Amino acid sequence: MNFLTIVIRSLWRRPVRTSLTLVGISIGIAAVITLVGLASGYEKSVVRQLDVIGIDVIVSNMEGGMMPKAFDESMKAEIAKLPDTEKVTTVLMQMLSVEDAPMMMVSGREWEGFTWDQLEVEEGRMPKDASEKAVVIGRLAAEVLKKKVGDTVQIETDEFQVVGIVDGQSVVENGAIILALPLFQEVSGYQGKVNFIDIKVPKNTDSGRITALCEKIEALFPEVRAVKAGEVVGTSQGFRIARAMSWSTSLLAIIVGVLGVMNTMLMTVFERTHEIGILLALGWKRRRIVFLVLCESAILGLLGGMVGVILGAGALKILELTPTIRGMLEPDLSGGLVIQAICIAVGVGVVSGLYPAWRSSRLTPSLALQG
Amino acid sequence: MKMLLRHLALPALLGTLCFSTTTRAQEFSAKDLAGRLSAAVLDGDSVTKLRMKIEPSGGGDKTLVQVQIKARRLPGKTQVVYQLLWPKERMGESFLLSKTKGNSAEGHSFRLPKEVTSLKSAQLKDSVFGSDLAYLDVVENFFAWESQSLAGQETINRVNCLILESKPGSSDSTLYGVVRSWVDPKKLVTMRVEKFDPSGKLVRRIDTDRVAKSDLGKDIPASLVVTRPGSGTVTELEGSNIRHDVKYSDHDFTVPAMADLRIPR
Repeated sequence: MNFLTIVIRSLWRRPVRTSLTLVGISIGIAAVITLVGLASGYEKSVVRQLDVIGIDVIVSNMEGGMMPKAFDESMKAEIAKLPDTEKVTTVLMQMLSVEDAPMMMVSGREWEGFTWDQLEVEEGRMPKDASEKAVVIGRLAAEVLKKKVGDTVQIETDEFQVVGIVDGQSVVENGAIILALPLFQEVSGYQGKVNFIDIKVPKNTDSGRITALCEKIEALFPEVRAVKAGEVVGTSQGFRIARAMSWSTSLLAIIVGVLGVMNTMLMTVFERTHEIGILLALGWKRRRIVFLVLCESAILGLLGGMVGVILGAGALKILELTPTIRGMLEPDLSGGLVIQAICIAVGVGVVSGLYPAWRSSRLTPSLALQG
Repeated sequence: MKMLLRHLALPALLGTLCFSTTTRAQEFSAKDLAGRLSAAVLDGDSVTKLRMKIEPSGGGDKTLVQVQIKARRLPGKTQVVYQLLWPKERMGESFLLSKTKGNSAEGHSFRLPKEVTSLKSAQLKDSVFGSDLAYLDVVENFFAWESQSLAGQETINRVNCLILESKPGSSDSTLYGVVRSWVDPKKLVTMRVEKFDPSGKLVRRIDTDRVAKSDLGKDIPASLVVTRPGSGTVTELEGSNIRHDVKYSDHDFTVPAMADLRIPR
């Protein structure tokens, strides 16, 4: 009987207990996969949206509420005069509850601004001009609102005709209602106001020049912040909080897993004092006994991690289909996250096995054989 | 975009149900706590949008409406206009309420096509748009009542709350005998409100499900659940937007302006 057989046989000796321990670890790992996958998907969908639209710099005012504060749209003209600004466009975006649907993004965009360019019409057409009382809706928003081309949608107090269903190539865009800026300003009571200025810089502009552009904008208009699109996720406190919350919640689940494995391994050691005594009498070194216990707990962790990944992936899939999340974000299950989760599970196994392993190493052959 | 960071709207509303003002956790006297909450309620001119879901008892069809609230809350005087924006066939249905210190609230309701009804004090216990809220709930500021006392502490939704007990004085015109509020002392947000009639029977409970930042950067209840013991109905209020950059005239709180859905700038 070799070392590995002893490890597997001892885990298999109590299949119910081993299975329950596996369930404990796998729930913890599933929590990691689900929560971190959601947070990461959220970040990626925002980054993808910015990439697709081709925004290099975002100007907004995050003071106050949950939405960037509206500011005068005339600011755009001044920003457009600055060097390294190839295209500048304005957006008024609000999260609104539309008809019977929960919160969704409504985006009023400057007519002919570059933020319209990436929208691909799947059905219908784009609005004819800035004055046509019409909207296009992302395909996810169309599903949520149960709208098709030719229907009307009520935004605040006004009705708009749905003239097109579009693919915005990112989950954020696909979950939005998009209309011409003046129409949205009128209906939302924000005449002459916007809450984003999006800037595209010439190709091959180096990062230092973009940083300088941001600084110039902030010097000209101290009330706003200009952020490089690539840094929105990294610098945003909101994203950091989402990440921290998902990891800290996962940590609690992991701690429960650690305690479960530790309990199982302690029970195993106590039940096997006789066996350990024989192994010691046969000449096994103490460190080999320690290694045996650690291997058992690491394998428990590994198996729990694998089951947890499968459970977590399933949970993400289900969450993706729920009405609350559908269209709002795209959960992300990357290879990196899977490897991270499995490493955590194995780590949990090893850490949980340390104390039982230490206890087993303190046994003496004579005491162990006495039982 | 960044706005998504703070997603999920906010919204407060319900005048006296929602208040805010972030402070550090500290010891409060009942008067001090009530004073701060009352001051937070009196936030001047505002417009709030919210989604109201009314679940009837016995599991019938839920009613869903979008509501716009124009409010002017000043020391000694509160005026509100509640207007239905959706569904389309009820758009414009509205009511107007006004309450001055020491007097009973009064106002008018407007139903389509052109029915204007006067709301007298006896009707203030009637339901707002068929929900579990009464007219009085949206205009009354019980934090300004004479008698305020602390009745202990309790954890609500993992938030350690102070329980503030408000009782009306002889000059406070109300239908309620006692109102108990579970207040998060750090954020100065009510996590629960229970309203009792003069006989001590619980009439209405309002639980805060979610807290968000207002446009003024203050914490406010963004999602509320209203229940009436024994009725079996549940009303959920999900705020989507609150703005204080509006300026009303006296005309905006008159009967002719009641059905005007535009937001004055």
